[in-house]
Amino acid sequence: MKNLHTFLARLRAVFAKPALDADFNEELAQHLEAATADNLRAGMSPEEAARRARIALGGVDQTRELHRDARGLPWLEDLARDMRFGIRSLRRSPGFSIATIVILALGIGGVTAMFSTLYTVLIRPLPYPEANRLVLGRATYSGDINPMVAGPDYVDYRDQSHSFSALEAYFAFPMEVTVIADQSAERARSLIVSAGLFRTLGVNMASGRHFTAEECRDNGPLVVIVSHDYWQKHFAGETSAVGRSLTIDGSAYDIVGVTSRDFQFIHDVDVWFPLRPQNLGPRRYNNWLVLGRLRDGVSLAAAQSDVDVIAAQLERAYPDTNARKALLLTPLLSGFAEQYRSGFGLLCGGTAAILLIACANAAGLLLARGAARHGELAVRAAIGASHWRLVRLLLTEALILAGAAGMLGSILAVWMQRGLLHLMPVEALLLRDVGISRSMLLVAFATTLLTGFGFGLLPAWRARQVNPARDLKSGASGSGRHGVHLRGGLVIGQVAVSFVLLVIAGLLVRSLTALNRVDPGFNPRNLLTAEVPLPPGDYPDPKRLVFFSTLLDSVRSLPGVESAAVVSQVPLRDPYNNVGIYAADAPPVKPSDGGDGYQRVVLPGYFRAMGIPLWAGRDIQPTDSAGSRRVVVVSRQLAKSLFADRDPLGKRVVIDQAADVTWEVVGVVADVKQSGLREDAGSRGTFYRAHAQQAWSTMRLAIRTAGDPQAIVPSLRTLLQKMDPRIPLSGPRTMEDVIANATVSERAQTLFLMTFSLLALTLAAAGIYGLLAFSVAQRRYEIGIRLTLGATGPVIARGILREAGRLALAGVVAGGLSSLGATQLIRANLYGVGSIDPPTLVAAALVLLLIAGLAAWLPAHRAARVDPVVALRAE
Amino acid sequence: MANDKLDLLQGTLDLLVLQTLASMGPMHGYGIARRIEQVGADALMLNQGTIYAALVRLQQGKWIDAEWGTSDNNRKAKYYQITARGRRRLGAETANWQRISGVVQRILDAPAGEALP
Repeated sequence: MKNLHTFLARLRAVFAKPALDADFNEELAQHLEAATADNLRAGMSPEEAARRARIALGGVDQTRELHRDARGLPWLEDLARDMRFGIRSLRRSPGFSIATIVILALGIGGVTAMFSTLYTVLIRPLPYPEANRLVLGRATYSGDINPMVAGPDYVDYRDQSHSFSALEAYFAFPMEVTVIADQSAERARSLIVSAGLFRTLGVNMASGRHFTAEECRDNGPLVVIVSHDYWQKHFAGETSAVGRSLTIDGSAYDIVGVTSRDFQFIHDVDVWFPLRPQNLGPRRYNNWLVLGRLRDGVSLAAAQSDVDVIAAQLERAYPDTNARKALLLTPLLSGFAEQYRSGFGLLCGGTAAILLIACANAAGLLLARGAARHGELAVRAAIGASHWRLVRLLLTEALILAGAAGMLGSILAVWMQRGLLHLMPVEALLLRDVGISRSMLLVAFATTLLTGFGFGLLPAWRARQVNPARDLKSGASGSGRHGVHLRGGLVIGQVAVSFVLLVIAGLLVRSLTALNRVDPGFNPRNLLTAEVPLPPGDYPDPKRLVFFSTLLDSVRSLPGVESAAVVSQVPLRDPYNNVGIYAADAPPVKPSDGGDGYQRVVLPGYFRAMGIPLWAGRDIQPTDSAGSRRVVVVSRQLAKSLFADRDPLGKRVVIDQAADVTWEVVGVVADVKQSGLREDAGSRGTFYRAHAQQAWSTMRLAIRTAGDPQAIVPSLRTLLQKMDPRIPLSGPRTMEDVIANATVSERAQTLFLMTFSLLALTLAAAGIYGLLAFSVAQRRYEIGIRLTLGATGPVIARGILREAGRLALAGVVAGGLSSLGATQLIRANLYGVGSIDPPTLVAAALVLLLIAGLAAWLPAHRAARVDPVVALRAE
Repeated sequence: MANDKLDLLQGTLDLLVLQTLASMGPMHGYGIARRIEQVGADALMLNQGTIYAALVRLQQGKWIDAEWGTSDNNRKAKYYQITARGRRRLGAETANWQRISGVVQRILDAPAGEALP
């Protein structure tokens, strides 16, 4: 193209074709007329004159063609012609076209959804200015990521490092607080952040200002910043909200600012508190995450060695708490995203496998079609189409199919993505704006193109082998057998990939079954759980004790309640909270070397109500009061790790390194899964103390009911409302629901993989069926001859079935070998089953052989019923 | 290859058409073809149809204009006319052509001699 306006003129010409054709026809007619007239004057006969005029021109059609090519864009017009032709020929076989499009759309949709999610979560830059200079700081013990950092450690890192323009911290867990606005109490999510966090992230305030240094001092004014959503919801976005006061957990806080609307953080938070020294906690508690902005010109590696020096100093200064402890800096995005990686790997692999099978299937269908169209292609070649032209024709068809599938797939991708996101506990920050995005469309487009070439290239390339002389003579396809071999290879590949998916799905089913069979250590039937948070300011210790014991008694007398308990954290529902504990008579050399256990605080009757068996001694009694001797009940696991084979009863323990007080073990109870069903029984145990001796302000109810647990929620609310209207009943949920939720991502993954493998099986079956049906149709003549020579129908049918068996077996062997590697990758997702599980492998192999048999049945049946007379006459 | 030959002819033919229009004023396609044949004294094998491809190319490059008019014998015909831009190109191409043909001529005329070491 010499220059732009030539190109534009040519492009215009493509679209003005009819007008320009008419114009040129007229010009040509004038030309011929003038030439003929000249020839007549030279004395020729009229016929001769007209003939000479056409000869001198070089042929009318040729001239027209020449003119058209010079005028327009021949390649574009050829493409349009190929497209028109392709669409026409695809419409002639709608079954084939629709099947291919649907198969490919599923593959493209899945891959698009998966990879655009992947991009959003793992690759897309965070919505902060210069986000690539932000780093996440996580504590490590002996190199293992903890990831929380102790508050005093954070302060030391902040004050002693010089690699950061700012080093900020935020509390690792959002906390629920009770906010009172207009008489009604409501729970809100809160987070403590260091004063400069917002500035470091580059957050603007929609209204008001950032925290001041004064507000970050102990005993400074009580202030909060509220989120934009909270501001809209409770203050209708009025600027007067700044300066108003909120009662949070019983104290009055002034609102000083509102975050901007587009600010997103890793957690959804309503209320932000400034970090004060009193919040930092002791050095042995790791509750903070550190977030810094690298100083200009400082590399991540340089910053890392800077904090390494400080970590070494801290280790020397505080050997009890900081032994082998360090701070690991990671780019913020990868730090946030790390937790999602394994889940993504599984799903990405699954969708990619489906696309692969879909492509193989489509390629198989195209090959079959190519073989059936051999005659047509040979005719085209005979009348002058170049091989390149035939390749282009077939490739265009493949791309049309892929294009249609891509469009359908993009639509599928939108809701497939929503489904996918439910499978992963991805935090709000990373997913605020999913949906149809540019990245998604880009992925869809690239996948479509890749798919089109992927499955179109092989059949198209084979069109080069068309040899009109040979193929038109033989009638049937000359290279048809070769096509069958190629398709056989594709089918084997499909079976292999299906096998791998099936094995993975099988392993996930087995581990889900194992998880569902896990004994949580208590009876979860008809158990309602809910949180009761007391405003600590309004309820000093003695008042708390009275409140909760009164509450417990009243709940027990509610109609429909069989038994009730009050505990600081409900098993499975409220995980974590483990602190150091050791036997007083065998203190560890360094306090930090002692083990730890989950700490729980209960009111009397907890174990009975939960159905946790008592193994030795006694449980927590009403007589265990603030003034009586301090007692503790330990789980069997903890008893074993604390006292080995010695009798634990009467022994004393030190909790949380507070060596001046010891607690007497009075009972041993069965082990309970506190933090999750996968919790290893050998990892850690639990110790229980009496609420009377450890009066916490937020406790949870566990109520066993006769009927539907949810049915008592209204009377429970009324009861609480009567006791103190400022106290909300937070999050009532049945334990069965909690347990079901504990395996929700496992179930979703299993469901997903099962759907995948079902899809893969269907596609593989379709592949086997298509190949055999085609091969039977092609070999009718041969089968006819064999039947005339005395072979029986069943013999023929067995031959076809054997062919299917060979294909499936080859696929199973290939798949079996690949699955050994593939299942290694999902080892972390498995529970109670090894990554190489013979029963699963055998079952998957049987399923595939069965499917192959079913897929082969119809072609085999058809082969057996070939009528030799008809078959032989047809040739 | 067929394509190369066509390309070579294209450039030359475009030059001939431009020169014809420059010297003869507005003409129709048949007239241009006849004129080139006459001047070339039939030494040139020319398919008259290729003139039209050249005319389209020249038109798209804005080196010539075209409009429908009436011929000597009162017939409608499409007349082509060189533009200012076309004249500039003709000048440049003519100079270029003369330079090349001069060089070729000199090489062909050079006396036989010793090969360079």
